[in-house]
Amino acid sequence: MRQAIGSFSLTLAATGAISGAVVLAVGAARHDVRWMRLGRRFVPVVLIGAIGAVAAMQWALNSHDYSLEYVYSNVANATPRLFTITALWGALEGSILLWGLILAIYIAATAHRFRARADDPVVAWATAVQLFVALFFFALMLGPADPFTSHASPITPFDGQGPNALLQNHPLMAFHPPMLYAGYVGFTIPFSFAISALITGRFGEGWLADTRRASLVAWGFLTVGIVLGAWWSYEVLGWGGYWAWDPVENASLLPWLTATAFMHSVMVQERRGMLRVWNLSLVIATFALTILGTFLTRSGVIESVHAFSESDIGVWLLVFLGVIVLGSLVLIGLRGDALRTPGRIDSPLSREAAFLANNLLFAAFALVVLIGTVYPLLAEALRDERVSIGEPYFRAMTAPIGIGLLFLMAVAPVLPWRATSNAVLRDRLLVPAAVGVAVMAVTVAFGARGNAQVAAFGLGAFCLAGIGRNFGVGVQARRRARHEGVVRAAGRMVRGNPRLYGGLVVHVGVVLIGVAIAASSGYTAKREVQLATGESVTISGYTVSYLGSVETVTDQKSTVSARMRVERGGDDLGVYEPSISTFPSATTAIGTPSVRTSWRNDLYLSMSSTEDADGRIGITIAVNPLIVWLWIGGAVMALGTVVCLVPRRREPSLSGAGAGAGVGAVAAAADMAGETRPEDPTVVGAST
Amino acid sequence: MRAGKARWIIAAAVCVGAIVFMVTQLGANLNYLEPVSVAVEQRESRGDRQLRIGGVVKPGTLSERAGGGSTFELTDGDATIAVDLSGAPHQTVTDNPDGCVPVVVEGHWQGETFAGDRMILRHGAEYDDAKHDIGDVQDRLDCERSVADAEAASDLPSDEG
Repeated sequence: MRQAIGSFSLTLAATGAISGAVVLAVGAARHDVRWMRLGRRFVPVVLIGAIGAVAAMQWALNSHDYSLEYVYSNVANATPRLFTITALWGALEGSILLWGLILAIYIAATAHRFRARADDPVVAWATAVQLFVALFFFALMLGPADPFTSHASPITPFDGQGPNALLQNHPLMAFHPPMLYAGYVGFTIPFSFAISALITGRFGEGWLADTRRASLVAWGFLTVGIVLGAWWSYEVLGWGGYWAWDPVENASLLPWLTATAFMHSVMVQERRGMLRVWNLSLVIATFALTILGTFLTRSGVIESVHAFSESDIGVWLLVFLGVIVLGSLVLIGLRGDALRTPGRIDSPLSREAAFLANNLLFAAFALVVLIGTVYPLLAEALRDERVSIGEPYFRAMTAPIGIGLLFLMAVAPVLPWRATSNAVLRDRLLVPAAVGVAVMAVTVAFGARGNAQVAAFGLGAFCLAGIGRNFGVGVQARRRARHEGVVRAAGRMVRGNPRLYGGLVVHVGVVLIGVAIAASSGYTAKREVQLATGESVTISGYTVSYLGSVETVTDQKSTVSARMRVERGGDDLGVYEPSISTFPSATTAIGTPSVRTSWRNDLYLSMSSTEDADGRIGITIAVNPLIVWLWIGGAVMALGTVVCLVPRRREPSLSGAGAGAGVGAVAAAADMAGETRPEDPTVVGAST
Repeated sequence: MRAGKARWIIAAAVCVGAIVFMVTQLGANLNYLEPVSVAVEQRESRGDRQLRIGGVVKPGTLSERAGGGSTFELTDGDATIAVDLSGAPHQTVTDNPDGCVPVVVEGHWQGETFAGDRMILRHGAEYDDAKHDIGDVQDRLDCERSVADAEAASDLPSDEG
């Protein structure tokens, strides 16, 4: 029953996708309004099919329908309800199913948003491209990644194998993958409009305005997904870190880097009409990198190039990737001359020059990570050598780029468009730069070592001081012009240009993350010790004593917890319990660290072995500075993204005697803050 | 015109410098992953560079030091090496001293001993470990076969015996 519903739903979604895509493409090519309107009607069909398939799978998972191979492989009778639900995205077929649902939601939301422009060929082509992408994923599910395949045995098993042990050990499993997928899949929308712009020849600024919200939403989800992934790694894997430059992690970072570059370069095109090819390329690259990431993580190619051929899905993903890249290149090539823009950068000390430098650094960052990720695959394919790229490569290459980006983040928001003067630079940068230098001096005086760390602290302070100045000048100008209180002035200022101030809030989050990464990568203290009951060890002021072990057994797992008393400066900070669990279906034990978090540092306790014959446990103790700011920074970035999405609030202009001075003050403050002027047409576009 | 040319030259120099730096870093941080028998063959050419060796911990060879670290033998059925691990062995290894647990040890050669910095258990780190298990099972079978062969050759009684 569930299998029949699931398979029918997938067939419905695939049929809807191909029908809609073909009808829309024909309608758009012929400029036939009836066909374009008819094509849109298939969008709800795809959504209903996707919802039906996911509902059927959830029904099967929660009712333990082991006649389905996917349910048998990923759920057991003892699996807790939360991890039974999350098993939907715990393995290949289910995760493609989730991908299909999220894509169908995005397509439906986009079709709804552009319902008034159903006759516009740009919208019709974009929807057709979205449906073609959906068709690919639903075709995968009807073929090599069928989630509704029957279990091989004719007799239905009484119990399943359960999820991978690592995937049933922390509630973050419920949030990290869906967030990541919402980010990945969301980039289909700007990609589809970019392709549509190339097909129709309308590659001005219109498609950028059409996709601004979708790009922001996808970028926000991907940001949160990556930060949650780091948090999951930190809280679950027990190795004490949050980012290991693992190919799977890199696969999520790559599209984020190109998308972040696009978020900045898009402003140059809106304001100056430049970088058309670059923006199209960034959007296409971002989408292509999401497919590359899926290929890397789902084809088995990371384990071994030769495992790729064992995977049914790998070949299809590679072909799809090739079609995207080659098709896009052909379209850009065909439009060649028409894509050229006459504008040029007038001065290296201008906003557009800073954004261009920012984009080059993001592109370099992505290239470095891409090479480090795919080099082992190429080495194995071409020379039959199994190699991996060590973390020092990524650290050495990305640290200077990260420092450069922090510097640009401090400088770019205060630079005016086109050109600037020394006086303006001095006025806007002197105080923030002085704050940055002072912070560097103070941190060195307090014992900070490491050029990258000290530079990150200084540039972080430079950036925060610049952002603070931006807000301060804006609020002050409003108060003078409109006689408002501080809170009201700040609120209305943000509502008046949410894109600018939301972006600055995102920058605050980035600074927090940058400082946390610098501190934790440079000043972590770590020891591996063996302790018998009653023994203690002291590290970075913390005294950790082993009180004994406790064993708990449930249907899901057997857990041995080490009870560790933590004290600092004579204060009892409580008992923490790192543990090791064994799951019936797993061959390996899974460690779960216990973390004491504070504003200054984390005490990270991870059990490496249970009591041996002498009653000694193995325990790894680390003191990681400023880690909590990494998670706070992620939340601040998410908040900034939400602010960017808030509709712009237009205010009546000041009138009457004496208002002229007020208007002038606000405009001057806006310009000083690097803000676009209210009368600027691009600002009107920003609110759509 | 001259200023424009100078800018291009500076940009080209920066790009070349960045590429040279990247290639240097890439070469310096290349970790070879080899099964034990290949690692033994390549020992001379690898010198003291960092590499990863995959195999299984030979049953009964694990010995932990009280002050931290451990020693054991690593084998792939065709060759066996001595490993001196500075970090803690994985719990699965300590729990199965008589099992053939597949692991990867990262470190470098010190004479004929492999000085390991860390031990990684060989299983799929992500969601689907089925394919990787094929290699693990093969190594384990090789290990168990080699142990059985060694026991037969030295006429030692097996567990069942």
